[in-house]
Amino acid sequence: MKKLSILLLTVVLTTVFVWVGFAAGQKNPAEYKIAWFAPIPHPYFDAVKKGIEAWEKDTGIEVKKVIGQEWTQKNENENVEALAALGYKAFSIYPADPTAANGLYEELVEHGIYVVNFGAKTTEPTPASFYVGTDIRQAALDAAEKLCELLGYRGNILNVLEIIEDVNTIVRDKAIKEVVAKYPDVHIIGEVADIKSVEEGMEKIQNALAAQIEEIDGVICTGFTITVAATIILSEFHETQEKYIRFVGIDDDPSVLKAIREGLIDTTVAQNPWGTGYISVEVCKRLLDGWTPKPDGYSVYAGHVFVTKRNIDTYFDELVNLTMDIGEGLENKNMNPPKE
Amino acid sequence: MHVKKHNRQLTLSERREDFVKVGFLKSLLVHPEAGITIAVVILLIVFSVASPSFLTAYNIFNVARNVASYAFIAIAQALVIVGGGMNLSVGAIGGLAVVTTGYFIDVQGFSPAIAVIIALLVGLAAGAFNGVIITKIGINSFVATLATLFVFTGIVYGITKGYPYINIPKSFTIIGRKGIWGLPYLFWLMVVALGFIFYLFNFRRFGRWLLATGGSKEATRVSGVNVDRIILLSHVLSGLFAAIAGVLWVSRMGSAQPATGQDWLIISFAIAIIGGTALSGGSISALGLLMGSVIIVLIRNGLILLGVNIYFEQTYLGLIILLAVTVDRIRAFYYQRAGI
Amino acid sequence: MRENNYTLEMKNIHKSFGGIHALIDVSLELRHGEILGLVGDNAAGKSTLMKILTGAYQANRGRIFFEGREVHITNPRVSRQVGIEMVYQDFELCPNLNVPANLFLGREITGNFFKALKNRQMENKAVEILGRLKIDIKNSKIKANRLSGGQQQALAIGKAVSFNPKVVIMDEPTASLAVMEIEKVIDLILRFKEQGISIILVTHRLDDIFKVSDRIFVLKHGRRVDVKETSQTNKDEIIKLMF
Ligand SMILES: Nc1ncnc2c1ncn2[C@@H]1O[C@H](COP(=O)(O)OP(=O)(O)OP(=O)(O)O)[C@@H](O)[C@H]1O
Ligand SMILES: [Mg+2]
Repeated sequence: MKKLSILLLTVVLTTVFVWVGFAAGQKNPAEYKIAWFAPIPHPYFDAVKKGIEAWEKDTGIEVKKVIGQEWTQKNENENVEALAALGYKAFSIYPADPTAANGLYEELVEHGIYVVNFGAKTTEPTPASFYVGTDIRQAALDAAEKLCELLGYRGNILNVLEIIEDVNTIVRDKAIKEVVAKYPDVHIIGEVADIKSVEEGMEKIQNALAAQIEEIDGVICTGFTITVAATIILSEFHETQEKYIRFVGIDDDPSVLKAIREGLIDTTVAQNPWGTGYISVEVCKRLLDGWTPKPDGYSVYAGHVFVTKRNIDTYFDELVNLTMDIGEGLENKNMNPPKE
Repeated sequence: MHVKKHNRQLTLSERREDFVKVGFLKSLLVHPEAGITIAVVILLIVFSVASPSFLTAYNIFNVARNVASYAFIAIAQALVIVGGGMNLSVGAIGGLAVVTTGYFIDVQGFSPAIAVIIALLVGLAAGAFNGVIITKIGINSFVATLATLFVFTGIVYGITKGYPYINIPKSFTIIGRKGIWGLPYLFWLMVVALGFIFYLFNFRRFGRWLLATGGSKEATRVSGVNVDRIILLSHVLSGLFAAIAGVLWVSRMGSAQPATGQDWLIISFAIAIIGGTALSGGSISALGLLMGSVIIVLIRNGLILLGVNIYFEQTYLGLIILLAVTVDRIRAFYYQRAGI
Repeated sequence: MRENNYTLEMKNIHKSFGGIHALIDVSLELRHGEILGLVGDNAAGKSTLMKILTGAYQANRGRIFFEGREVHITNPRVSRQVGIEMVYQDFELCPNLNVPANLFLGREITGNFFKALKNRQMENKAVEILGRLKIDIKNSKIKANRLSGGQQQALAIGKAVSFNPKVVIMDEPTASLAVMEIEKVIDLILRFKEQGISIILVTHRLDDIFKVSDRIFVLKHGRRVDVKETSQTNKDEIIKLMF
């Protein structure tokens, strides 16, 4: 009798469990075959990876994390194709080449695999289901707004742009000009561009400073490399010259944070790579669970915060909070839950 | 070329007179550096007249420092080109030295002096590694240094994961940021280095033999010179100068950025070649290396000072380099015709 | 093993390049102060045999004796130290170096002070050497690639003989010269002989050989065919031996 009741109970419980699990679309953690790919070892990707590791801990689902050997689409294709052959069903990928990556994605999607762009968008139309990362335009708008504010809405700006072949550079440039146009007493009086290394950035920024050393009141940088370069030049400038030049950069390279901490430069826009990693694999999981993209939900913006001397030790917590908010907003903005 | 028959033996002084009679202007033609030096003088005049910012103390300091940074890189390349080889790994060795310096100061807490010595030794070792592969295994320098370019870059990323070392003491930036007699220390260091190159190739057997090797390896070998040893040594020196360039960049930046060196390759060739180091080997000139560095830096500086449209900057750079090289062709043409 | 009759002796030399046997059991003796003509068809192995003497190549088998002592010529430096100099078929000058630099290549004069090169001294000596050899090069600062073919050849010869060698090997020294210049080279060779230098002269020009040589050594397909006293043979016989 006792044996029978235990058996019955087991059957009932198992049935309930399986049914509940099925209804919620839940799978055993081991069933999720999610992979993440970044082109090269880099502090940015490292931060993204940390976000993924946090997500793994929160969910108990393992993500295969692979970093490529060189920043080329060919290398990316080889790595990702190998992962697909191993049976991975959803990918969070940084597109090495925004256009050529679509070719890879098409093949993956044809085989029923989901692709999510993280960190950079592929050119549209694209087979990718989502983009998770920074809102490039918004970040540039905010940065420009911040610099105008720092200048007291009066002054001359040096606009430093990174690689001019990159469409994002044009988006950033336009955003900056849009903001500056709002303030009659703020002007862009100098531009340097086409910078591929810190050394080159240092040379060009310093040349531009030398050209208009009296006139320039503020510098805006909307790329990682140029921010590092400008930080070096401005730190040195502020140590030797009377004048203080306002600065807004992007990304939180340790050398930039150090200069902020020492009061040598004003602020930088910290993107949210941690959240980008966290959200991108969450999106992958939901796609595997049967969630579908909303029509206008392609872009999942990971947000950004300004790092100043004041919040330099706590800004990361702000980013984590931001991430959790974005996670909760997914159902509202970006994805529909699976239909029963 | 026709040589008149002399029946009687000319005295040495008569020979010298012969030479002098050709005239100062024409004898200028003999020197491959003459063309580029003239081009530099023209640019100096144009920029001084066209931009009031050009001759400011800040800009002169800035230009002099960039010239120095380039010159070291160019020396590293020229030292192997002159022997008929090339070193594609100059930038990678520079990066290795940057990271070594940063690592031993920041992580190991060594004094900067010791860290620098270790970094220079690493440069020597890397150059020796190149040299051994080339001479002992008999792989040509293009392939050998292409391979080690990857090896060294890989080590840089392996050690740093892409992160910079930022805890570099302020005192270490004195060499990179300060100066004396109105010019940066870096500039004076470059003068010493170029003096060393001049001495090496005019007054040392090693320099003479390296030149000879670049002219004809066979002729040098049968003259009893251990050509392999000479080539090996030239790579060791090249590694040393690349490492010096790297260390000096750390001093300029105040941090050790692992991506340092990645864009040195083209610049190193451009300056060496513009400065009269024949790509086929067998010639080198300290003055030419100086002028090659000056012209590249001047052009970039002048273009920004003159406010040239940033999107066409590369085009102007290319055109002015062509102009400089054309001036040199004209010189060479008259030199041939003068028949001296 | 001492034999003082000969300045130089090569014994049972073998040399092959992969499958090609360039030299097979060749022995050669060079007397004091003689001019030995070395002849043979193209690819007979003449240059190879000479390059073994200068250390450019190493023999697979065989021994070399210099003034009765066995020597191991493992590289060009050893050969030069022993006292053997060679004028190569293709001159072997450094086109980018000036006349004194070429002349002194590998044995530059250096000062006591840090062993710095004494360029002025080398220049003066170069002018002196060129004068002594009656080599007509007007401006010694000129680079070798701006010299005429004859001047280059003269310079190459000058380079070989100006440092008191005991044996000078000349590989086709006249091959690319005009008649006038050939005469001068022949003159030079005879003058070296007067100074007691032993000479091996490799050439296809039998006329020259008969003019200057004491003996004629014939190689054929990598083997020693015969050695004749020049005074006791004639062109026809030599040609027969060669082919
Ligand atoms: N470095 C080498 N590698 C391979 N084969 C070689 C080499 N040097 C010479 N040989 C071969 O050895 C043989 C003898 O060549 P060598 O140059 O000694 O002839 P030679 O008598 O000097 O001819 P020539 O009169 O044309 O100068 C030829 O078959 C040649 O191809
Ligand atoms: Mg031959």
